[in-house]
Amino acid sequence: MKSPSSTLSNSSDVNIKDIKLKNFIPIKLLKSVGIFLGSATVLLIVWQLAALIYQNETLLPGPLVVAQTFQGMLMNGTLIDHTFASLGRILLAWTLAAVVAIPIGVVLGTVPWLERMMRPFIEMIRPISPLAWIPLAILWFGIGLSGKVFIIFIASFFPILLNTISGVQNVNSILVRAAKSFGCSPIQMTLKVVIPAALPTITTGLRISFGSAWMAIIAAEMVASQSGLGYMIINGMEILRSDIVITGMVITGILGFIFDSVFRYTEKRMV
Amino acid sequence: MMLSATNSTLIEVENLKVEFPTKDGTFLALSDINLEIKKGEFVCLLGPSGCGKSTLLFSIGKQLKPTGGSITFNKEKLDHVSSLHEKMCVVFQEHALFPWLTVEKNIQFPLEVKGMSKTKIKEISEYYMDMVGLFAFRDRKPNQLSGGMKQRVGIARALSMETEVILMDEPFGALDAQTRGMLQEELIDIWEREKRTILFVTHGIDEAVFLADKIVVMSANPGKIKDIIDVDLGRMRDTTSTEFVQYEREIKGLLHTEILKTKQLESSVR
Ligand SMILES: Nc1ncnc2c1ncn2[C@@H]1O[C@H](COP(=O)(O)OP(=O)(O)OP(=O)(O)O)[C@@H](O)[C@H]1O
Ligand SMILES: [Mg+2]
Repeated sequence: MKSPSSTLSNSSDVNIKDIKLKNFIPIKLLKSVGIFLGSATVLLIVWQLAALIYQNETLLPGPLVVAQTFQGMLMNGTLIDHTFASLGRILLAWTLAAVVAIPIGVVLGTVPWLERMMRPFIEMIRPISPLAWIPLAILWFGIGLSGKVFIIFIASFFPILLNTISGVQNVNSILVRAAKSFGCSPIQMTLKVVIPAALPTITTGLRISFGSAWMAIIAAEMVASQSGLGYMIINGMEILRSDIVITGMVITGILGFIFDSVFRYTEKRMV
Repeated sequence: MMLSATNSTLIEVENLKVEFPTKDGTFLALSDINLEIKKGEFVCLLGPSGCGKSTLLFSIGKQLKPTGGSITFNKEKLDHVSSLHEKMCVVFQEHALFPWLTVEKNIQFPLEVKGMSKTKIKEISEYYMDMVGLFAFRDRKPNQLSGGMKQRVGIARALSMETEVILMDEPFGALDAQTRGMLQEELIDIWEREKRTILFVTHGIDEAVFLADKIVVMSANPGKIKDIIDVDLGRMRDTTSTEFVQYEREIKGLLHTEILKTKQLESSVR
C-alpha cells in the first residue's frame, strides 16, 4: 500500500523536474544560440556569394577580407584605441545628459502646468537629427572634445528626459497617498518615493539613450576627429577602404548589442 | 476608567459630501454623512462594495479633499490640525507597500520619515514584525509575499507609528481564519492597553460585531449612513452567544435590503 503510492509520487516528481530542466535551462538557451549561429552563417554565406559575384573588393569586400582587416586592426591596437576613444566621449556625454535630464524630468513630471508649457518645445527639438546640430556644435563649442560631446549629449538627452517625466507621472497614487499619511515632506516624497518608484522607467530611458548616443558617435566624429569608431568609418570611406568601413560598422553593432543586453539585464533585476 | 476615556468626542463628521469628477460631470460618492467618534472608541464601517467606506476613511485621514461639510479632530478643523501623521495612521486596502523596499524597510519607512534614532527604529520594527509573524520574512520584497502577508506588513507598518487613531481599510480581508482571529485579538489588546481610537472598515458582519463598540451601516448610491448600532456586549465576546447572534441577524437584515436595493438600481440603470 505504501510503496506503490510513494514510487508513483516519486516518478511523477522526477518527471516534473525533467520537464522543467528540458524546457527552461539548456534547451532554450541552446535553441536561441543555435538559431543565432544559423542565421549568422546564412548571412555570411549570402554576403560571401554577393562578394564573389560582384568581384570588386574596393566596393564590396567579402566577410573573409573584413575578418582579416578586423584581425589586423585588433592586433596592432588601432581598433581598441578607436573603440576607447569613442566610448570615452559617449560615457562623458551620456553621463552629462543623465545628470541634466533626470532632475529636469523629475520637476516636469511633478509640476503638470510646467510640463504642459514645455512639452511643445521638447517635441519640436527632439526630432532634429544629431547631424543637424553639427554646425552649431562647431560654432558654439569648437572642434575639440566639447563639440563632439555636445552632439552626443543632444542625442541622449531626450530619451532620458521623456522617460523620467513619464516614470514620475505614473507613480502609483496609492503610494503617494501612503507616504503623505506618514508625513513625508515634498522633498522626502521626491527622494524616497517618487524617484525610487520611477527608477525602472528611468533606467529604460538610460538604456535607450545609450543606444542613441552610440548611434550619434558617427555624427559627432565627423567633426575634425583623429580617433574613434566614427572617424575610422569616415576615414575608411575617404581612403576607399570599404573593409575598414565595414569593420567599424560591425564593431559598432556588436558593442551596441552588448551594452544593450547588459542594460536589459540590470533592468530586469531591478523590477 | 474606560468611561472617562470614552466620554469626549475625538472626531466629528458633519454633513460630509464627497464628489468625484467623471467624464460627464460628477459622481456623488458620499452625502449627508454625520458621524461622531469618541476617544477610545472602536468603530466599524460596514456596507456593500462601492458605498464609499474607503472614501469616508480617506476623508477622515485627510488623504482626500471633501466637496462639502466638515471634519473636526479634537474640535479643530482637519485643515488646521498640524502634523496629523503623528495622530493618525492608515492601513490601506491595497497594501500600498513600496515595492523596492524589503518588509523590514517598509515597516521602518514612517519611523525614518519621523527622524527616529536607528536603535529605536530597529526595536519598534522588530516588535511589530514579530507581532504579525513576519520576522522570518523581513528581507523579502513585497512581490515575494502572498496577499495576506502583504496585508500584515501594511498593518505592522501602520501600528509601528503608534498613533492615537488607527484607520484601517479591510485590513484582515485576505487572511485565513486563524491568522485573522489572532490579529483581531492582538488589535483589541493594543486598543484596550494603549487606549487607541480605531475606525475599521470590514465586509464581515461577524468581524464587526466581534470588534466594534459601534457599527456604522452604510448604503450605496449615493453613499449614506443607514444606521448606527451600538454593540452592548462586554469584551472577550462569545461569537456563539444568543446576544451576539442577535446582533448579526439585525445587521444582516439591514444589509440585505441594501444589497437588494443596489441590485434593483443597477438593473434599472441598464
Ligand atoms: N478617484 C475616484 N474617482 C472616481 N470615482 C471614485 C474614485 N474613488 C472612488 N470612486 C467611486 O466612489 C464610490 C465609493 O468608492 P469606495 O472606494 O469608497 O468604496 P468602498 O465602499 O470602499 O468599496 P469596497 O468595499 O469595494 O472597497 C465607488 O462607486 C467608486 O467607483
Ligand atoms: Mg474600499
